[in-house]
Amino acid sequence: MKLEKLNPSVKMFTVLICVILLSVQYLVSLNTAVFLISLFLLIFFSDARPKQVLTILIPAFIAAFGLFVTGLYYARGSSIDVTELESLSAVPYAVRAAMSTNLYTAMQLSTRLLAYAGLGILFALSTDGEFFISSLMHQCHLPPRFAYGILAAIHLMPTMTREFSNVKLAFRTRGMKVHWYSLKPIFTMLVNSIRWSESVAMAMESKGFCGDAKRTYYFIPKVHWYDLVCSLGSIGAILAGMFLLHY
Amino acid sequence: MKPSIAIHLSDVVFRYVETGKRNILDHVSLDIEEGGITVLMGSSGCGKSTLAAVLAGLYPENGGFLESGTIELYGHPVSTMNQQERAAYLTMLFQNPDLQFCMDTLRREMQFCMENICVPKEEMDRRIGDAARILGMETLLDRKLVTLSGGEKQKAAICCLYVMESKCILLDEAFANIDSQSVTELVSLLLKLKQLGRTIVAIDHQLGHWADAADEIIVLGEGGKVLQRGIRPEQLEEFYSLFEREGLYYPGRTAAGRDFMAGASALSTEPDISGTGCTRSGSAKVSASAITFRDVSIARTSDARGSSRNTSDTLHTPGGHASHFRLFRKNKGDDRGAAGSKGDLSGAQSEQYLLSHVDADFPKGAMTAVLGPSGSGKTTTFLSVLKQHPYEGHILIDGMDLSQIKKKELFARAGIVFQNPGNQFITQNVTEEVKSSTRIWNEDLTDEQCEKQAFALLKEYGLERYHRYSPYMLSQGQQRRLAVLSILAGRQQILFLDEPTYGQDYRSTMAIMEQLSRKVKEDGLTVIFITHDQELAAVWADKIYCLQGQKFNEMMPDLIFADNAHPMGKRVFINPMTNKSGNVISDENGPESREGRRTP
Repeated sequence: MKLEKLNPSVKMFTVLICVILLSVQYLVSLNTAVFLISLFLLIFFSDARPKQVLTILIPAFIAAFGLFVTGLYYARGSSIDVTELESLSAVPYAVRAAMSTNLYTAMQLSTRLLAYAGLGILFALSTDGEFFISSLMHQCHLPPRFAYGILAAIHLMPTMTREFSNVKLAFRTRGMKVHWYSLKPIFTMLVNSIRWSESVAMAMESKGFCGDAKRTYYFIPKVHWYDLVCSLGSIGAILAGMFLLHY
Repeated sequence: MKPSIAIHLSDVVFRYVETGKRNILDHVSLDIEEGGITVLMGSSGCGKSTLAAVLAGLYPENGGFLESGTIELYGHPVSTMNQQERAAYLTMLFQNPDLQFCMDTLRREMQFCMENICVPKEEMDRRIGDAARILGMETLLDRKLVTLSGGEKQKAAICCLYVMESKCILLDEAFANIDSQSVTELVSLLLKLKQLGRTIVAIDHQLGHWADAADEIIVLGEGGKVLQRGIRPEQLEEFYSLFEREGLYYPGRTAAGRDFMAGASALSTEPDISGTGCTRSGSAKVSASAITFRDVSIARTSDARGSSRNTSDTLHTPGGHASHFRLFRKNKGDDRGAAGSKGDLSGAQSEQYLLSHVDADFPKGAMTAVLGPSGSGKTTTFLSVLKQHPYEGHILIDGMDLSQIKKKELFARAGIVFQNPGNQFITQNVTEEVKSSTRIWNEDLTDEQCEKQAFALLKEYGLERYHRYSPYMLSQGQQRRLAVLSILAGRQQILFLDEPTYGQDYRSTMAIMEQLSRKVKEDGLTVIFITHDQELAAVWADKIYCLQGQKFNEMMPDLIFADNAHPMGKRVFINPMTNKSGNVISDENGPESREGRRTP
């Protein structure tokens, strides 16, 4: 059973509910558990490559570390009870701070961020874009006009990338300095893209695509019992964690 | 039983801007009967494409203003139908193969098309199977569309139109950028469709494509008016003067091909392609080569994603390619399993090299044409020469090894004009465009001097009329000339042109080639152009290479004509009228009004 098989809409709502639930609790253990379980599921029950997972997580780790440090030193209130720690006055301030309740606040903040990140990539890396859009169309009543528009745009991306590098090359061969942040090639691309989007739209229309008319579907994503089981299972687990765990 | 009317237009008046004065379609009336292949011809800007879009109901829905007239498909007025209903009668194949798909694989695209017209699911698989079998597309079904060549994409598009079973198929210059081999295959696909009772209407500049297939040829004039209809391919000769007057390609006959060869030598291009091919009289000139390939191999990067990122820097040396391949494989690992596609079958197992151990010489101060089927790596080869794609072996430019030349120096010597010249305009004004080129490469000139030079060049190229326009408002042909011009302004000595005549009528083709050959003669410019048009190559090039089977094979121009055994397979090149006087032929069509409507 792969995560990719689950209905994307159900998966999306499950993740959303989990995120909301996590935002009303402050349990370090639960946050950590959610993060680790997300990673575990991604690595063993999806086609995502572990390396990709880790690469995406790097910014999350940096942010989490930042939050941790912030929480540790600048937490609101004076939770560092210096008198209590007087006997340890030989110990550096950082260590004393770490031993105080601020440590717990810092952990709360940083693990929460990691939990969100975990859930986010759990969804993002285990969901096929096309499957997701067709599921949105059937389960969430996204109008076909938008759905196919998005799909066409996604599938145009490789062509656009190629053209963009052509534009940059053309500029370079004309002696212009082109950096990745140069605006001129982007302007040219925009002019081209307007024309392209028009062409693609006309091609779709000439093939009978009509935003409002009835259409048949070759593949209709369905909500299966196991989608619901997974969804309720994960929400239940988080609820259980909220009531049973204490730290 | 008399065949019924498939397409009926009566007194259609259409323009892009409601308040504008110029009617693109000016009281056009046209009936096309069911069940044949009709070819519509006309000079650039005469409104052919607009006519197609109006027929398909794309205009005025997507822009423009239909003042009067009725358009009927099989007796049903277009305006009363929605896209879905229209698709049952008429579907369209477009010029740009990249821009007509919504999905990522052919199978998905066919499903999308059938979903549009409410074909039940069970029926879809049957139709897809049939189409793949009848049109021979089994191997393409699950390949990513972006990895297909232009010809394959057009085949895929025809396949989609096939499964939709619409009665009439309209082609809007669909073969403009397709190699001749693929065109032959595409035409035979269309002939199959005709046998199945479909009506085919094709808009095309090159009648040669349709020599075997056309049932009727219609020539359109200014404003989309029918100048002559009912021309059958065998009676073309009677209409020679009409084709000449309208500046259209005229398909010749066997003998004419030879005559024309004689004529071509008389043409000002200094070619002596008439005799034994490439033993040329001006051998002193040929001996120097602008670009030399020694044992060059170029790897394919079938992935469409920017080949420019993994540029040559790391990979000049032999052996570097191994890591390169790994890089690209990784890129391709784009497996998005769930939604039913079988993944990408291309890539790894297709040949890994576009060129292998090739030696070639591109003579200095001459024109060299590069032919070859789509996807054989013509463009990529030139990207390699411009250090935008890795290669192995040695490429010498003016005797210097490419790896020793800095990019900036290289670009000061060599320029490229892309298929889509719109890609390379760096300003929003025609004069400014040329001026900035002059400025970039001649830092010591003052602003006025630059401006003066720019004007002189524009004048020389017959573009001074448009000096205030935005480059994007020019017609395709003019855009391309401007692109050439703005590179020449920088005094580059080597010029690559990727399909310089793509999608243009005879008159603008000749105008471009004429200018280039003049530059070659007068200033010793080295021109290397990629084309699918063998005759064009034979007429204008001093040397012809055909890229096939990973090699550059030199071709003798007269062999090209011998190969084209079919009498209709060739075209007479009418000597450009202004050739003797040396003047530039300017094409009469102003900035194409299609662009104009965006900036009224």
